[in-house]
Amino acid sequence: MAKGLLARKVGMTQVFTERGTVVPVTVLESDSCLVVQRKTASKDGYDAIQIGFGEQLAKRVNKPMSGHFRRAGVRPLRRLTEIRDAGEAELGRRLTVEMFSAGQLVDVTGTSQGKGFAGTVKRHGFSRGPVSHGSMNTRQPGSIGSVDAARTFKGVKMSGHYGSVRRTTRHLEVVRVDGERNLLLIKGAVPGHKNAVVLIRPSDRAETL
Amino acid sequence: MNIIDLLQREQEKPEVPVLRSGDTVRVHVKVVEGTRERIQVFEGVVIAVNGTTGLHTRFTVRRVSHSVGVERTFLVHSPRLDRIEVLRHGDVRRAKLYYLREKVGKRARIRERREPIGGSATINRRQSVVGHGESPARDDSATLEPVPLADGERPAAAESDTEPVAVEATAGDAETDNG
Repeated sequence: MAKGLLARKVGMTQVFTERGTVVPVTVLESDSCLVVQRKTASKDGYDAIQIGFGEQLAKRVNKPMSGHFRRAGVRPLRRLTEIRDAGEAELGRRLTVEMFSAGQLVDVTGTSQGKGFAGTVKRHGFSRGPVSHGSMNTRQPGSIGSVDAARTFKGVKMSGHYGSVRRTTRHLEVVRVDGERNLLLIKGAVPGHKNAVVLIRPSDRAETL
Repeated sequence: MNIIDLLQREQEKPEVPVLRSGDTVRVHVKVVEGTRERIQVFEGVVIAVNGTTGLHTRFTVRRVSHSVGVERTFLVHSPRLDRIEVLRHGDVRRAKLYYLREKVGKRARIRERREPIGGSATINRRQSVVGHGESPARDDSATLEPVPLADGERPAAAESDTEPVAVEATAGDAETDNG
C-alpha cells in the first residue's frame, strides 16, 4: 500500500464533532492521484513509487514525459512525487483518500504561502519599536552587529524573501474521510495557498496524544 | 458549488429562528451529566448576533442570575442546542447591546417591538440545508446561488452531524459584572 497521497488544498472551514465541539479543518481534495512509476532497488538503486496529481494539457507535456505517462497508462499529470519504500503498487492505479482513516495522524507537506520581500518583524518575529512620538523606528531592524567586529557577521537576521518554501506540518489529525467526494478533512492549518498541491503522508506518531 | 460552502451547508440546521439583538430567548442546551444527557434552559436577552447566515453565526445571551450577570455565546447551528425559542422581540436601536452590562434594574429594560422590522414575519424561519426542500429560502437568497442536489447522501450526512452523542457547555460560561 502506498504511503502517501497528493491532494489539492481547497481551503479551511470548521466542523462540529459528535460531541458538539467545533474543530477547525483544512479541506483537501484528491480526485486524481495516480501511480506513475515503480522504482526498485535492483533497477533504480532504491525502492519507491512515483505518484502524480492534477490534470495537465497534453500539449504542455514534452515528449520524454509523455512517454513516461504513456508507459504507466495515465493521462498527463501536473505534479510528480516519489514516495520511498512504499511497497508494491500497480501502475496507473488511483490512490484514494480512503488510505487514511479518521483519527489518524498525518504529515502534510507543501509550499508555504509566499510573503515576498518581508521585513524583520514579519520574517523573524522581531519586536517593533514605538509607533508614536515621532519614533521613525517602528519596523526597523535595529543593530546588525557591534563596532569592534568591524563587519556584519554572516547569517544575521535581516529583511528578505520570505515564504514560498517547502514546509511540512507534522502530526495533524484526520477529522473526516469522505471517499465519495474524495475529501480529507484535516484538523488545523496546512502549508500552501488555496489550490496548492500538498503531499499527505501518515505520521510516524500513531495516535492522538 | 464550492466545496467549502457545501460542507458548511450540510452542517446547518434546516430551520433556525431569526434572531435579533434585543430579543428575549429561551435556549435549550444539551448538557451531559456523567452518562446522562439532559436539557438545560438558558433564558435571557440576545445582546449580540455575529453573522446573519451560515454555519458560523453566533449569538450572545445575557441574563442576570442572582444579581450576577451571566452571558453565554452559542453557535446557532451547534448540535448542542436542542432548540431556540424566541419569546419576545425587543425594540432596540443598536446591533450590540453591550451597554446593558452597565445597566441594572429598570434601566436594563428593553421595550417590546410591536411592528415587525423589514416587513418579514416576527418568527421568520429559514431553510438553509442542502436537501431540505427545494431551494434555500433565506433572507438574502438573492445573493446566493441555488444549491444543487447532486447525490442522495448529503441529507443523511447532515442528519448524522446534527445528532450529538454528548454535549458540553458551549462557550465563556459565565461572566460576572461588578453591578
